[in-house]
Amino acid sequence: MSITTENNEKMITLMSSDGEEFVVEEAVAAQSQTIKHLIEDGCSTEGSIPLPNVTGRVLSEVIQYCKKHSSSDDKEEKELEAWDAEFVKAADDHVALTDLMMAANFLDIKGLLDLVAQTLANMITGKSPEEVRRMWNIKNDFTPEEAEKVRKENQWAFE
Amino acid sequence: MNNNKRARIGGAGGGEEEEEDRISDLPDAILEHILCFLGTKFAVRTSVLLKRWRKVWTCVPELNFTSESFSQETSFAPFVNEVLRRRNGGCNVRKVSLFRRRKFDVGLSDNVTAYTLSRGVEHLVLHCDVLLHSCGTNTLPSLLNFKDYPPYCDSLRTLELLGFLFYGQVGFIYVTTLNLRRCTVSNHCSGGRDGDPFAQFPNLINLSLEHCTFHGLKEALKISGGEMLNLSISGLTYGLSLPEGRKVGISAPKLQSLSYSCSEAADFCEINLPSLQHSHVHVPLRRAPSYPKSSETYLKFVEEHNNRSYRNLFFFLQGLCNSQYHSYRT
Repeated sequence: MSITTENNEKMITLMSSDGEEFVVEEAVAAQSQTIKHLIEDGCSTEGSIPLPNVTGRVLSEVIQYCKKHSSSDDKEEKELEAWDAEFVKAADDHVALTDLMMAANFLDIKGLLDLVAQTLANMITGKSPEEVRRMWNIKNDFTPEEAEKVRKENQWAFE
Repeated sequence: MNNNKRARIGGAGGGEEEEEDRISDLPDAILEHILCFLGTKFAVRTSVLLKRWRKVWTCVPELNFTSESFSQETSFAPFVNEVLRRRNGGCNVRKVSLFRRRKFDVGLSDNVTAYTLSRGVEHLVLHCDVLLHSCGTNTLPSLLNFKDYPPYCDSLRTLELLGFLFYGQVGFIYVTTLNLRRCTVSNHCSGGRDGDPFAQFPNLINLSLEHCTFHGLKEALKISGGEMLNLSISGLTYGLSLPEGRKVGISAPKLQSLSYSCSEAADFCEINLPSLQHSHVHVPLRRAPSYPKSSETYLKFVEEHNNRSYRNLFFFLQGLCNSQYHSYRT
């Protein structure tokens, strides 16, 4: 793409799995190692970069994160932390966080991956397996016999 | 962000999606990444949630043992040993952290250290919160306290200790980051180089000393590192952490960044930092209390103290004069 802004910032277009297009500064998109490598390999010259694993909804959130993190420097660390906390809070539930996690993994954005992993880990800290199952809507796939066996096998981890 | 959230629920996929069990479909690698951020106790407990998850925890590359998550202190050590025994031997461990709210028992920290050193672990964190629970200072695990370099510990890159007694003889050739918090650093046994407790870390790049107490110094505390790039010192105070009359020498020809905070201006005998780019100095000066009852002797003490601080500070700042970015406050 040859579009440039007033600041001579090179722009690229990202296309989500559901066909939504996002025009962003190259520096913002390059927060993703995956996109960075695609740009380096010349994959951005013809139209937009397709991201078949990420929906438009998730991609717009990822871009918000990348924009914030490419414009801040080290001095604003505290402010950035607060922003991150608001960002994951707004993602609201584990389904949205899981989508975000998968996208961060595919796009290879370490900061976002760690942020979401930490948030999901915090959600289950201190909770019993039953509580986790209810919260994350995990269907029990053990038969009663298997469940009993696994429970015994792991008794040592349940004080 | 707030607007997007609402748009999402009403948007493609619909409200039905909210009930979906998306977590179960996560690939093992991602699940392991999440478990890295979890205390190992809760990581192990995920094994009873789903068939596929039964063994996932045995491959998690980071182990975080926290005694706080145990209501009974006595069940902590057996738990740690059980985890080490049951882990999948074919999976790498990157980082091992052990946090304890009381004195370490020698057997436990020795086991964890032996595991760490034999499994090629890169990061080791041993914390004992001494101030909060006054458990005294811990002796380092015997494996870290050796006389000769053991041949098998060339994997360790970062070592972080809180609340330990740190002897000068402890050393790892390949350690690049050393972080000591509230440790007692003793120079009694340092191998040959008097006054430099870090002489046995020849490849140190980052050194952080937070509120450490220094013992066994004959004349001066020397901090030198040919490869050191970042040095951070905080809580250095005469009479508390450094014996009165001792000098401090810093010699690191490659050092780029120095942070010296919440500390008294030490009496420096050497400042050799030719490559310094960033320096951050925060040296609080003692102020006389404002209420009228303050005695003559106390005011005199404060004045003398401040005069000495100014002298030391002047010499210190002179030593940092080639730093490009400098922040300073008292």
